[in-house]
Amino acid sequence: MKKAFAFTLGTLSAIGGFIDIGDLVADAQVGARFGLRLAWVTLFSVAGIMCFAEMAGRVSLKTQRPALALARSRLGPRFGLFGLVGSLLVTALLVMAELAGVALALQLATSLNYLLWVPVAALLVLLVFWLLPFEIMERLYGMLGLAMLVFVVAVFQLDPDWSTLTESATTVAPTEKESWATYLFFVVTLIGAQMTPYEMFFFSSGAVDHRWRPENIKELRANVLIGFPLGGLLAVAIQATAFLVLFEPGITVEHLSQTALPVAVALGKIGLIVAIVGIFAATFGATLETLFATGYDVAQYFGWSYGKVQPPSRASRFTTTMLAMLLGATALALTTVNPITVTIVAVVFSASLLPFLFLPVLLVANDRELMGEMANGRLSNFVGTATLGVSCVVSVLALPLLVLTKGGTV
Amino acid sequence: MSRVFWPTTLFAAIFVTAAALWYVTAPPKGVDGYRERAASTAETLVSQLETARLWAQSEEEGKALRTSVLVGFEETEEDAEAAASAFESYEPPDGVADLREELTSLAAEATEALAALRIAAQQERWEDVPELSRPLPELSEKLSALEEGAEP
Repeated sequence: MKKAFAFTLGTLSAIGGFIDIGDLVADAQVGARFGLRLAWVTLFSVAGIMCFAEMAGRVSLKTQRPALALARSRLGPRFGLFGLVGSLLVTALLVMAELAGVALALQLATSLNYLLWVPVAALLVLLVFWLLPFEIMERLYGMLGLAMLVFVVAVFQLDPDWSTLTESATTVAPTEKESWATYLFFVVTLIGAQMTPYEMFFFSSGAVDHRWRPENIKELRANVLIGFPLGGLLAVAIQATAFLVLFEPGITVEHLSQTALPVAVALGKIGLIVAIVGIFAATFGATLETLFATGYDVAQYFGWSYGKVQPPSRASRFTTTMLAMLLGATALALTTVNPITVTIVAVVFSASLLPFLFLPVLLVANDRELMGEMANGRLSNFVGTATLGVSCVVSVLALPLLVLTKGGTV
Repeated sequence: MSRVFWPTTLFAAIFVTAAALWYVTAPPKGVDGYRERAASTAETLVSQLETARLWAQSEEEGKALRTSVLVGFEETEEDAEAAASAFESYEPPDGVADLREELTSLAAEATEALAALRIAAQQERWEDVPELSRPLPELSEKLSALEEGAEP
């Protein structure tokens, strides 16, 4: 039992990081418009984020310091500040989007407008953050997030023509109705949604918070090997259900409710209830993760004490940063700005920042003087360099594609 | 260098952002632009009608929570109205009066049908939902045909 629970850091990172509001929306959009023609992007993202999360975690095990903080300190304060400001802006937008995602899940269950649920969701986040110990928190939402597996069950229940799914998954081109620009825009969107920087912050800083040592390397790798592929499986399942139910009638996904609709069609009320629980858990977990990532990021840059294992009074600036972010996100969500639009913009900006976060981690993980035997091997370097190369291209294309395709609407 | 670099960078960033915003929000230009916008409006309306049809069908078959169905109806009506009113606000160029009239009329029918579904759901007249959702497929077909015809 204890061993099973040891995997929850990875599970929470995967469910709350890989499957968050960005992924819930982007996967359903992609599935409804392109079928499984972008499933290869998810495979790439899983491999990339696994590689960098493992690398960041390994650096933390060896040095007892979060990888990004260490990497930034070596590249100088200017580079560090640039990375901090960039990731803070993106993560702030994501906190708002995740919080709105929690509210939207509650709206689906009650039909009360999501704006009424936003303050309630914020209060729930605050209570959980304040009252629950880190381990219980991550286990609770990691386990509840497993409800998202209902999307996998729904794929089988829809009794698809597997040859059609395979043909779609092996086609790397847009459908007849869509342009290459739109296809590429969704490649960028998926990468941004699935390789979010905060997953790395959370994974690496969480390992420090857990006081893991080099001998915990097996647990770290097990978390990475189980958590992220699980997230990838869920992402492809969401794409597949959207393809099977929404593609043919020509439905474009613009709301979280449309992500859940195929599950209702496939599995009825019970399935829909489980999907809503899963969406709630995934977005709630992601709200906590993004908040923690923000707190970790700022505290580590300025050298403040941080961490959930300490009482809030002993890490007051860390706690204040997170509370300020939660308050700001709640205020932004209440302005009635469309959370789905914010999500898409945030993941595209996130994609454009990836190389600035991957490069320092890759450099530090390769420092044999610092890492000794735990430095990168050939496989980590190959996958890491390939991911960095692709993320550089994505970074250059992200914003022009956002404008050119008007956020994927043309 | 930094005395010149930062103001220039800031100015360039503001200029690029303004140009991008203008490009994204600009109304359609010329007949082709107008036809393209008509096609995408019809596509959006089809998407809303089909979403509402699926929610209605799921409700009829006892597969969906009524709270979720109501949310689905509200969202589809809201999005359809937004798409229709955005299209109506565009100044039509010469030679597209028929297209405008046809789309405007179909959009009105679509939003009315969606509003009727939403009102029935809000008033808990769930037994009326199957009947009210019956015109949706035909409206979808008409709008799909218009979408294909409108493509420049």
